[in-house]
Amino acid sequence: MSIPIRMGDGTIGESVWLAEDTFRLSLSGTGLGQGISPGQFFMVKAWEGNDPLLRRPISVSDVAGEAIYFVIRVTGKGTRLIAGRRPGDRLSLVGPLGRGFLIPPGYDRHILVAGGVGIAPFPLLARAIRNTGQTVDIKLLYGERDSSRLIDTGTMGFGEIETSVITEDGSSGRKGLVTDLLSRVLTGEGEPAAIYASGPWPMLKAVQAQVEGHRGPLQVSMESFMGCGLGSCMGCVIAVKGEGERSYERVCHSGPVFDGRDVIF
Amino acid sequence: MKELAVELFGIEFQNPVMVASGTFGYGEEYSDLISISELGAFVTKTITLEPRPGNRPPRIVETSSGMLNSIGLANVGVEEFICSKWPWIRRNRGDARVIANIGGRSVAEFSRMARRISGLDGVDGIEVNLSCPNVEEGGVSKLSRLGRIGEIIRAVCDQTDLPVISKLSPNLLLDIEGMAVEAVESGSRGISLINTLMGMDVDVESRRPVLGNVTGGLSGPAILPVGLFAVKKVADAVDVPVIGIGGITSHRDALKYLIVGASAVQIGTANFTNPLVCREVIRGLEAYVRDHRFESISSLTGSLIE
Repeated sequence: MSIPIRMGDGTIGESVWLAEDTFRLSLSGTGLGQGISPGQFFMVKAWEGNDPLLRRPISVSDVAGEAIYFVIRVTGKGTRLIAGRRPGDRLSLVGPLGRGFLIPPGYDRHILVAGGVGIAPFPLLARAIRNTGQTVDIKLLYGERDSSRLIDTGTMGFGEIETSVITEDGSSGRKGLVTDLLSRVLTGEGEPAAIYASGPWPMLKAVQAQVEGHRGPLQVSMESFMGCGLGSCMGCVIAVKGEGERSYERVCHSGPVFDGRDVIF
Repeated sequence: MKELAVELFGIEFQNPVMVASGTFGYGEEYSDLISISELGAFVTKTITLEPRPGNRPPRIVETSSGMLNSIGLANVGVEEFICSKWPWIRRNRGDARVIANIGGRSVAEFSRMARRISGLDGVDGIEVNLSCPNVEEGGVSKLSRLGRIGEIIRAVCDQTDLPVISKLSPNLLLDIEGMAVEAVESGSRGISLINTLMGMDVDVESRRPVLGNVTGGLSGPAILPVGLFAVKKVADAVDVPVIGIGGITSHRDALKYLIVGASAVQIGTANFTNPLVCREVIRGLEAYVRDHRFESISSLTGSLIE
């Protein structure tokens, strides 16, 4: 069940670069760490004043006790300002927000498909899958553009997890796209798997096409530019298959995690 | 605090702070953080006769100290509003007034909307959206015209005894007093302004517009000076209450609107970035009135020294 949305400050415990443009931040003292579902996010502000104006939606990467962890890639003004904050600085958070991943019962195989910084919410998801108590097989498939952007998954808090890495230029791991790894896994064995995908739109679109014919459930975590994160501004909508025709759904409110077969890319 | 109470169109509001239409959803979205009962008035998202899906995404983009939106009046439609949204608002409103904001594509649609909303027990006023920049039919380009405004406001007033407030666009800024005067002469008992300023943004790599709808409406702190200018012009031209909107993020911004002639304010985009902004503005106004020993916040309205 979802827990109440709150607004509060957190203190940065550590800020560590995991790749050329990607860092991991721990926040303590937020009082907001309990009951977060994997895939949920916070609206974050790390600066004074009105420029940038809007908070940035940042998904929770992991939770340990009271501490909340974010893995953030610098893509613009807002994320650059967050990256500039140092241990001891305070960030303002609103959340936790949105609907996260559900762990479908009855599946022994779970495949986590990550493109780029889409990998961010997966440590908490992997933990939640393990916490179901069943003996499960979790595979992490992770694709990046090149080795400079490759995040060291060992420092993300995944624990023991079978990981396959692929880069578009072959500078680390295999050469190709993460969907190449997925097709290998899906054709290999017969038993249906629960598939969770998070990454850029073209990747998610490719995953959706690839999973057609596979009997297991597909959940995708969608990214969208958000105004409020609270379901009020109607700004972050994506098209999904509705009753009869397409409808627009708010990523912040109905998502960010959607049934991967319903999204219209 | 009784010093913050204001009377507009014969109705008392517990304070002069309202939320701007479309920036506080149907109230429920914010309820974990702040209750609509704290507000002077809760103003609904624009309601139309039929449900509207809204415009093609992307619908928002950030600008310097502002944002552009092209939502396109996405809403559940009046019947669904009455069925699934209104009961919650009624139950949770406390002492806040409720103003229903209505939109329409034709005089007949506005008329039907006014009649339908008027029949709801508990609505305190109707705000008529004459100024949406993001829809063709029923948007600013068709409605914010001299002659047209009077036609719509007369049709709305014919269907309701509730106070009618006309929400004006700043996009024809030099004609704005004329529009306000026409609205008042047609029966409008209040004027609220400004809605967003029309604008656009371009992606230089793809050379395409950033917004799916090409153009959008600019809001946020960037438009505060335009709002102040428009409110001053209109407040000087009409003798009904004026509600100041545009770029308010603090009680100081709200005070500026009151000083140039507004009797109340609406806070919009700031609700997105600081969900508690309305509470902070109310507290800031309380402290200001106390520290400056004003008997009532109303004595600030139009107190600009020129």
